[in-house]
Formats: sequence, structure tokens, C-alpha cells
Amino acid sequence: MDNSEQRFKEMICRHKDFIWHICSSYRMGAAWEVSDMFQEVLCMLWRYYPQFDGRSGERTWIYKVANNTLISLKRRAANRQQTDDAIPEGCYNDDKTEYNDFMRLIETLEEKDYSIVKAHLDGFDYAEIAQMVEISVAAVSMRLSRAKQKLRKMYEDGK
Amino acid sequence: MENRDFEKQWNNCKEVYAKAKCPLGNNELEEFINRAMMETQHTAAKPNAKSRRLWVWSISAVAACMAMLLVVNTVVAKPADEFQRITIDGQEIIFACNNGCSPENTVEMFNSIIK
Repeated sequence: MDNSEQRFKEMICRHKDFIWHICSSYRMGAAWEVSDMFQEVLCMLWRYYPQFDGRSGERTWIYKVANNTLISLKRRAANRQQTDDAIPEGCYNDDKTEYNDFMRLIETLEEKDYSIVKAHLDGFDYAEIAQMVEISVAAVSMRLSRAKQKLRKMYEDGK
Repeated sequence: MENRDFEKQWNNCKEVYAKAKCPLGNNELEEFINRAMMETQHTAAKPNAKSRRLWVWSISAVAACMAMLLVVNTVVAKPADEFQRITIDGQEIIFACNNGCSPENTVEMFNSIIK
């Protein structure tokens, strides 16, 4: 096994929970199990691994590749019916239906805003999100605040 | 009340991330990684922003030089405006004439060369 394979394996082992979480937060419908998405993301991570130059953190890079992979999978699965079973068991104490409704609301955002909101909810700071979506930190802050306002309005209107 | 609900949902979404756990065991994970490595080829690394900028500058400079050469070539070495005929010592000479030359000064020039 060469050096890069070993380093790649170690990186995946370090971030497996995180990658699984990213996959499980995308709901693609019955055709895509979380494990299928996980496999697809690992393929893409391995494919682009030579391009990882360490300028951004491992976590940020993984998130960016995984997010792009899953967004394109989601586009392909757009016509298929969404299911609610992708949320990992034991990850959420409250009512799953409420969580799903809220996630569905977030999914109605425009693709870039969706990526920004999701990255924020997944614990990334503004600078990391700016690196991922390739816009300035100020723009991230502005778009996040607008997206949140929009979500709040939709949430309240939907009640 | 509604605002508080929204904030609660917003914060709950953040908690999901913190509680995420991959259900795969070590062997299973190893299988997933090996499959990814077997099925996927690396892609060539993209040039970084600095070298991309260098490429753009180089190509622009070459394009500018070529454009300049084309202009110079068209202006300086333009096709003959007209053809002139002159007769020197009973022999007719036809020559291409640029830049407003006239038969008179050409005859003078030829004569000075012959002499």
C-alpha cells in the first residue's frame, strides 16, 4: 500500500462520523441508502484526494467534496419520492417529523444558500464556509442572515 | 412564541451534527474505502490560482504580440497600391508602387543606380 492510500484511509477513519452525518442529512428517497451515498462520497474523496493541498482543513475539504457530490446526486434523484428514514437513529431526541419538516423547509432554499445554512448548522464557522462556497466572509454572514430570515418567515407562515 | 419555536428547531439541527455516529465497524469501513479506491481513478491536480493567473497572462501576452504583428504587417507590408510602368533605355519595367511613388522619381532612382 503506498503512502497516499494509507494517509487517505487514516483521514477517512478520523472523519467517518462526520461523513456519515453529511450523507444522512441528505434525503434522496428510497433509491439511495445512506450507505450508498457514503460509498459515492468516498469515491469522490479518493478521486480528488491528489488535489487536497492542505490549504483548507481536512474537515472543510471533505465537507466541500461531499456536499458537491450529494447535491449532484440529489439533482439526479429529484423526481424520486423523498423518504424520512434517512435520519440516523439516536441522533435526535425530539419528534422526527418536526425535524423533517424543518429540513424540508431548508431544502427549499436556493442551492448556495442551502449549502451555507447546512454548513453553519453542521458546525462550520464563517471563514470555513467562505472557503467552501468561495465567497467572502462578509457575504457568508449576509447570505446566512437573509436565509435565516426567509426560513423564519416560511416557518411562521406554515404554522 | 413562534420565534422561540423557530430558534429551537434551528438549534436542534445543530445538535444533530454533534450526535452523528457512523454505524460501520472497522472492517466494514475498510471495505468501503477499498471499494472506493478500486473503483475510482485519481484526477490530475488542477493548477493553483497563481499558476492559472500566470497562464492567463502568458496567453494574453502572446495574443497581444500576435495582434500587433498582424497590424504591423497589414500597415507596413500592405499590398501594392498600384503598378507603374517606366521605360529606361527602351526597356519597359513594371513595378509595384507603394507610398505614392511616381514614375518620375523612380526613373531618377534607377538612373542614379545605373550611373
